[in-house]
Amino acid sequence: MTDNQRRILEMLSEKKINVDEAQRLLSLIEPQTGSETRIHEDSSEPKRNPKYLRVVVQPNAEAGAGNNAERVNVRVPISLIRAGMRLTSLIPPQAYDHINEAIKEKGVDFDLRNLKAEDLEELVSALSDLEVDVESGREKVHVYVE
Amino acid sequence: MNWPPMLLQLGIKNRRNHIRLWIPLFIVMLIAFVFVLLLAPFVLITTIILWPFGWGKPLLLGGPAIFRCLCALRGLKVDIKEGNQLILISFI
Repeated sequence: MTDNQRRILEMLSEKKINVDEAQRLLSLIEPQTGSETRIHEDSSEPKRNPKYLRVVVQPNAEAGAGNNAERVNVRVPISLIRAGMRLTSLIPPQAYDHINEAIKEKGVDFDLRNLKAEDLEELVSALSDLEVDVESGREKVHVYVE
Repeated sequence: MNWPPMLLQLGIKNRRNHIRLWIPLFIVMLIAFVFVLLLAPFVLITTIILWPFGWGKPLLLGGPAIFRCLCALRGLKVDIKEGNQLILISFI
């Protein structure tokens, strides 16, 4: 029971308000308490600490892919992604323009100078929610973090 | 920081060959460490020379950054099979 609910009940017991008014006030604060509970539930959920990025390609049994179908099982440590991304801080300033041009030629309009260490950390931690499931023709592709 | 990988498991299988290798990386790293120690004075001199041109910092910090990447390789596994062919790379 929240402080607001207790106060309303106290006012009702002291006959400062009647039952209808108490009911109306309680209904007004209900959504608020509901959201409080929801936030609490979310925060109590243990945060996963992902270790590996997995890419698994398996033959689609439903499509009748035989033993000759390609099977891929790749496990990339998240720490490797983190360490690799940190290498960008070692790029000399003169090289940035060349790299940005090369990236732009590939169709990605992105300035590497905007990549900051704190952004990288956020990006890597956001990977914990990543899950891609693709089923096409003969193969099933599953990309996830564990 | 993780410990660097101690072993590298390599596997290649095709119609002609079937190779499975266990490479002791801890021995390779010891040899590499000796080389790094021998090269360190030259790297320092080169860093001082190249510092005004902006290449000194990457040269100086490149070594530790590469070592960090090497350490992070532990757990990397690539396993690709197609029919009778197989490629396996695993850092343990």
